[in-house]
Parts: sequence; C-alpha cells; structure tokens
Amino acid sequence: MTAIIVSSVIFILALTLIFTEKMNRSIIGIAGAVMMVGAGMALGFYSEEDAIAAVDFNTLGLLFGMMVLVALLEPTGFFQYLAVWTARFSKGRPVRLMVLLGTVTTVLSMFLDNVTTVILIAPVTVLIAEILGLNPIPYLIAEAVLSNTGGVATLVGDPPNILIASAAGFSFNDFLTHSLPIVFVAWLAALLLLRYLFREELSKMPTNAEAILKLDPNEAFNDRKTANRVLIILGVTIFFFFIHHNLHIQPSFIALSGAAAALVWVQPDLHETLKRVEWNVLIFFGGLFVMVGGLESAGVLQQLGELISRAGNISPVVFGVITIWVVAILSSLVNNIPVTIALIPVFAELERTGINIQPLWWALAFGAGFGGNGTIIGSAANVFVVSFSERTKHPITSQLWAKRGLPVMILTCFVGSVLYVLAYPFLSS
Amino acid sequence: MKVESCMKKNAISVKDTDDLAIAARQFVKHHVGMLPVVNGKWELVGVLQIRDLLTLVLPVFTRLIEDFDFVGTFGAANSAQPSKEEISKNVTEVMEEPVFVEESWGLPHAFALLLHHHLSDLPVVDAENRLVGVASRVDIGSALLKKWEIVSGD
Repeated sequence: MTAIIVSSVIFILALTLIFTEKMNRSIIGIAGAVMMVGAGMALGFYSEEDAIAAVDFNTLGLLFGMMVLVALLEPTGFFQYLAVWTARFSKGRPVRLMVLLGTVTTVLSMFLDNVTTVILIAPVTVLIAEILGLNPIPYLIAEAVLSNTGGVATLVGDPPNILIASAAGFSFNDFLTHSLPIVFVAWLAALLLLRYLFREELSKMPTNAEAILKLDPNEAFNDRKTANRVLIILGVTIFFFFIHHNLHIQPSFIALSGAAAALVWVQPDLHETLKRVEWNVLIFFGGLFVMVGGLESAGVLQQLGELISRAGNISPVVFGVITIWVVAILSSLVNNIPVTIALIPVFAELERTGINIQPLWWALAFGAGFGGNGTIIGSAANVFVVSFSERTKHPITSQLWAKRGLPVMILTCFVGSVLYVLAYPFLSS
Repeated sequence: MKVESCMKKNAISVKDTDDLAIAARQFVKHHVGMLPVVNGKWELVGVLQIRDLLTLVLPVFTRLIEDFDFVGTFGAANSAQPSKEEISKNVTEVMEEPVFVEESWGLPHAFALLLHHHLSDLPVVDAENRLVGVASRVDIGSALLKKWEIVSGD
C-alpha cells in the first residue's frame, strides 16, 4: 500500500508541475524518474533493471530516426521553399492562403514531427502576412491546430500514435485504414470551423497581393543537392513504413535505417545535425517511461484497471466515447504524451480482465490527438506557436486560444465520437 | 586633449517625461541619430538611438528569418506606421543604458568607447553626471587627426 501511495504521489507531483509549467518538462522527467527509482529501491517495489525494461526503445528509436532526417532537411531551405511556393499559389487570397498553408503543414506533419513542421513554416508565415499586410494569427493557429489534427492519421504523425502502435502492435497501414478516414473528416470539420471563427480577419483582402509573386521560391532553397538526397531517403523510409508489417520489422528499425542511410549519403557536420535533434523531447519520454514503469510495478495501474473494469455495466461503445473525451480533456490540461504513456498499461490491464481493448486504442489515439488542440499547452505545436507569436505584433493569448482552439477540440472530439460509434464494428476488428 | 574641446555644446536632448512622438520629431527636426535622455536635474539617464524608433516599423520577419534574399519586395511592410500605443510610450521604456564620456576624459578613451560599442555619438557629462554636450565619431576622430604631425604640419 505504501508503494502505491508513494509512487502515485511522485507521478501526480510530476504531472502537476508539468501542468503549472513552473519547470522545464524534461527536467521534471529526469527528476521524477530518479525519485521513482529511488523510492522503488528503498521500498522494494522497483529496481534499476525494471526501470530500464520500462523504457520503450521502439518509440525512442522511431522518434530519434525521424528527428535526424528532419535535422538534415531543415537547413536546406526546403520548408521555406514549400511555404513560399504555397503563398504564391494562394495569389494572396486570405482564405486560400489559410487552407493551403494548413494543408501543407498537415501533410508534412503526417510524416514528420508536427512541432518541427510548425517551427519551420511559422516564420515564413509571418513573412507572408507582413508582406500582404495581414494579421498572422489565423494562419499560425490554423497551422498548429490542423497539424495536430492531421498527425493523428498516421503512425508517425503524432507521438501518442507511436506509443499506441508500439503497445498495441498496430502497423502503419492499420492507421491508414482505421484512423485516416475518421481523422480526414474531423480535419475538414476543423478547417471549416476555423474558416468560420476567423471570418472577420479572413475577409480583409490585401491591397498589394502582387507582392507575393515577388517572392522567389528557388532563391529560398539554399541546398537542393542535400534536400534531394534526404527527400529520396525519406520517400524510401515512408515506403518501408507501408510494408514493415509484412517484413516483420519494427518502424523504429526503418526510421533508424533511414537516418543512418541519410547520414552516410549527406555526411553533414554531425555536431550541427545533432544540435537540431530535440533531445529534450527524448529525455521527457525516457523519464515518463521510467516513472510509469514505477507506477506499474507498485500496482497502481492494475488497481486503476480493475476499478475501471468493475464500473463494468457500461456498453463498450459508450466506454470508448467516454475514453475519447476524458483523454482529450486530460491531454489538453497536461499534454498528451504523459497521458498516453500512463494509460497504455491501464489498457493492457483491462485486456487481462477480458475486455476487448482493440477499439479503445483508437479512442485513446483520437482523444490524445484532438485533445491537444484545447489549450495553449495541449500540444508542443501550440506552445511553440504561442511563444512565437509573442515576438510579433499579434501575440496569441490563452483567452484567444479558448475562443479559437477550444471550439476546434470540442468539434473534432464530437466528430470523432460519432464516427467512432458508426465505425465501432470495424475498429474492434 | 580632452573631449570638451571637440564636443557640440548645445546638445539636443529629450526629457525622461517625453513620449516617443516628441522624440521622433526631435530626430527629424535636428537631423541627429542619437538623443540623450535627461531628468529634471539635467542628469543623463539614458540614450535613445534612431534605430530604437525605426525597429517599431521594421517587419518582424527580418528578425525571424536569417536569410531573406528571396523576398523581392517588402510589400505592405514598406508603408508600415507605428501604432498609437507604440508611439505614445514614454522614452524611458525604449531608451538604452547610456554609454557616455566625461568632458575631462581624453579623446583616445572616447574613441575607444565608440569603437567598442559600435556607436556614432557619445553624450558628454560633467563630474555630476549632468549633460553638457554630444561628441560624434567625426568630432572626436578629426580632433585626434588634427594632432598628427603629418596633418598639423600642412
């Protein structure tokens, strides 16, 4: 019982600190992990070996591999090129610009980390808005929200999906058949809602739309040779994602192979490349794995699983819908990564009590993904866009997010719930 | 040779109670690049550089994107105006910590400060920190050159 209380206190303390943003998340991850292992050794419920076994290296490997590929692509100006090309194609019409920039960011973030995608597209977005004399806020919020939503569609699009796929054994194609169609509808709904919420800003036509045509995408592309090499490797990597299940290899091996191949081919200044890798995210994940491993060893998650299964009489479909909403709310408050890592063992426990958890994994993915849109701290992309906007003349406040991002979260969760109910027989298979 | 020998004695300045609109008018009227900011006792409390005002209308992307060669025109940003709130700010909100010289200091000392801080003008104060003049790079530089034998011998 002491083990249950101590491990829960450590974990809840860590979540509270993450929620209040009083301390850097990765520092909380390291400190929390050390406290959990220390308490575990002292009370005898968790050992160093257990802690290492609790780390999901499959997830870390996949994240690291993709981060290296993005780190190689980043300095080539490829993302700038895409954004400028998109802006020219919009001919400076605000609605078209929002749809196109949102679409490009979404498609990129389906295959690459969505924070990185937003980080690379946002500065060019501000440039385009300033040249056209438009307020950049609708475009920045749309990029964050749409990439959060779109990322739910693929295995590599969103960190919670990587975690879920690793735990549930879902393949890349499982996401394309089960998640992509539902996410596509939710994404369209999100886009239409954003179009409506920003109707005022988007109705102001720029007076000098032709200025956009004086942006030269080719000039923005600094290093085509490297970009071509990395894009070829990225293409091959994504191709292997499609068939990884048939080859009986994990996505992490494919991502790491892609990273290795690109490093050999490009031979970059490795120091510079590694500087662009988001180590803080990897450390945060590692710390959470160790902490949640402690909760599991102490028996907290089993108790939670039993508690949920005893609530038993609820129909599985309703239970799934409740999962979407509860996970979404928790994700918007604390961030979706710790919520997903903590719930995965609970679900595994539910499976042991005889519940078919196959559809619940999808409910978890939808809740975690769509929930990230609810607040400025819900997802890393939101955190970035908000702190980035503070450097412009149009800072995004949490009040503004509550009026623009929160409605999108509610609508996408609603659409996700309706489609979940309709597709339940398919999602259960 | 001391700074007081080459400085401009009637320095154009702004008071610490003035707003940026007043400062902007002073910059234009007197065609200067730096304005010392003084308090009621004429003590130097800061300096306002012309760039401090101009960055208010410079597009933000120039600070966010390293290389903007691909931008053919700044479009709407070419005709940007500062907002009413920005221009009615007090000068003390925008001014920089002053790099200054005392009138009794030597010219090489003053010139070294200009170079070190990448400045073109220095406010000059007396021993009680009261503003007594402004010395520019050209004022100090030409006063120093004048002392060279090759120049003074002509």
